Amino acid sequence: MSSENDQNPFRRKVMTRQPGLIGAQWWNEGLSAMSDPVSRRKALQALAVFGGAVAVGGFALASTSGEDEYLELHDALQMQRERGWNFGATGDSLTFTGQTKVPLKPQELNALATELTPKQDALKPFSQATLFQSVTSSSAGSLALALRPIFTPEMDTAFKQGQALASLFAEQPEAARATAVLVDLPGPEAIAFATALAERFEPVFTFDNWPHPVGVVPAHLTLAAATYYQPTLRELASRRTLPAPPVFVLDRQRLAPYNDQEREFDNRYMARMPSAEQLRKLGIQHVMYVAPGGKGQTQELDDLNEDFVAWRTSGLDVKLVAAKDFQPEPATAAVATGPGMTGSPDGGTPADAGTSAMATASTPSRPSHWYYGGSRMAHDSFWFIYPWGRTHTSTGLVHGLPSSGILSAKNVPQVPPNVSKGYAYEPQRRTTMFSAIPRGATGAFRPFPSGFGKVAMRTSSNSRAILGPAFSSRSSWSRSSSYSSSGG
Amino acid sequence: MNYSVFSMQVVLELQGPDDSTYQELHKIIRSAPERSNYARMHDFYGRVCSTLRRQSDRFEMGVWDYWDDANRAPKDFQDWVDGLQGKEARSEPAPEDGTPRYLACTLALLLQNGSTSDQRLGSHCDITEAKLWKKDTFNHLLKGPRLLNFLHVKSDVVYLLPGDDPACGLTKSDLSGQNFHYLRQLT
Repeated sequence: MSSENDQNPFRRKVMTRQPGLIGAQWWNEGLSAMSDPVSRRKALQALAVFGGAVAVGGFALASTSGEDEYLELHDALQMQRERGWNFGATGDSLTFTGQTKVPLKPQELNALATELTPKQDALKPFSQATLFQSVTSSSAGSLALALRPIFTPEMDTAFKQGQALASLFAEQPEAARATAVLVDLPGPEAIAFATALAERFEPVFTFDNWPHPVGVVPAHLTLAAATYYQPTLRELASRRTLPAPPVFVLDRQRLAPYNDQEREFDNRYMARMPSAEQLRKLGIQHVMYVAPGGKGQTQELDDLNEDFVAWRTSGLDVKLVAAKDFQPEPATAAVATGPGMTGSPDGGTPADAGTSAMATASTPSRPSHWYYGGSRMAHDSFWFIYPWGRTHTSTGLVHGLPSSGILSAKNVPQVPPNVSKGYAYEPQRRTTMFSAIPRGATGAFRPFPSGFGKVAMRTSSNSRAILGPAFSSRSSWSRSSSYSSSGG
Repeated sequence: MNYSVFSMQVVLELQGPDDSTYQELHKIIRSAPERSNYARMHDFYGRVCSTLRRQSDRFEMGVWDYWDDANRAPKDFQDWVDGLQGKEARSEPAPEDGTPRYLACTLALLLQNGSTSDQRLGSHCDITEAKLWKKDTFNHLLKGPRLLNFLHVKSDVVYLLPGDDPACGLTKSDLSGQNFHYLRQLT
């Protein structure tokens, strides 16, 4: 830095004089000098902070090729559509865990988006087929070839947990018709859980991204799980009585931490939910939010907070149940089971979960009995704890249980000790990265965080042509460019 | 480095083309040097703010913000910087119709988040909701830049509408349009 800069670190960057306006902007070059030299990482971080305009952020890149470059944020999905699903990382492959031997038929893959779209017109506006469309897009290229159906132990567990919840709704068909279920689990498990509900509830998938080899959201696993359950879902769709209430299927990884702008691709997205009014038009009075459970997993994700609060405010009853609240009965806990098991648990309600068609996705194994709270007795207490059915009144008077006959008030079940407190859950407004609560006085509504779901692209200063992504360690920029702060 | 942002825009009715406040603000901005140091920048904003504070009972509309959210501050600051492009300014005088003309003065500061200057300004901007839109509050907030060590100011912007032609003052219609939708009436 020159002595002029040392003595006068503020440099006037812009001076505007017009009939209608006079003004100026200054830039403190001294403050810039106090920090580390501008590195590629800093440039990317600044770009994320500045939210899309590196010319604004002021990090120009002096390329050794002689052509000046700058970084510009673009919509990540749009870039994939234009440049291919794996652009910037074509040499990297997708990694699948839990690959199955179930064959992936090209014609079924082509039908994925169509088959997994809600059959009811009223639900179609809330479905996001983006992920399913990725395999048939002209820019998908090798994605279909790379895809492998998966089935993991976690999916197996989620499916059984979903079966247990389905059995509860089988006991209370009227409550089921008035309930929207939101399954917010890691993608493959969310699909497994929702599949178990799919004879009574119509799945509404909300996956609004594409896979990428270095994507922070492992969307390829969700896609792979969808291909695994596709035959089951097809069969259940044909058996479903319409109109059916929705089960919204959300990938809990959609807001996965995005920390390394150099090596990760930001394929995150926000869930888009219906308004309270739209839910009411569907006949919905209750919302059951299925979260994983466990530490920090019994709260709605940040992008749902405002929707949930709005739903609650408008009178919808929003409750949470943890997937972990559904456990195998101890006597059968150690029994290994495969997906889509249709085991008949002690003649109880899970056998009547309406999931016999799920055998199409199963592998041979012995049955296990999964219940709310891990026991039949706890299971029977569910509709007392979540009083949406016909077994409970506000006065505490017990009318009876469909499966057990009339009970007296003395037999009111207790809350099982090993379940979450989702029954007491009420969404509360809180500050999140999506909040529009102003600290100052403007009240301006800015719902999207800067840089969210974006990809930094190297752009020619001269031609404005996009030269390539900035995230890949293979980019020429990372090897040969130097950087300078040109001021904002 | 993370940033915070402080911004303010106030609107006053022009008292003719020789309005002393307009003339003084125009002169301060016009004469600002291309290169400056921390002390002179401190003095520069002190003069701008003092000029406005003396007229705070004339403030009719305004807006202010303080954000210490790293994800929002640079973008907000840039929104104000974009105002230098003159989108909200008049390119020619409105037809004379006997209605008032207005000046709008805007300043915004991008601060090093968490610096002592930022902390001082943040505390200074702790305003109860009932007082957000009071002329007195704007007067109080205009003392804020005096609290700053400009060592901690990464960038700053100030502009005045109208510019070199006082006849290009804003009309009531201009101020009620989309370009100024965020302005609130001050009491």
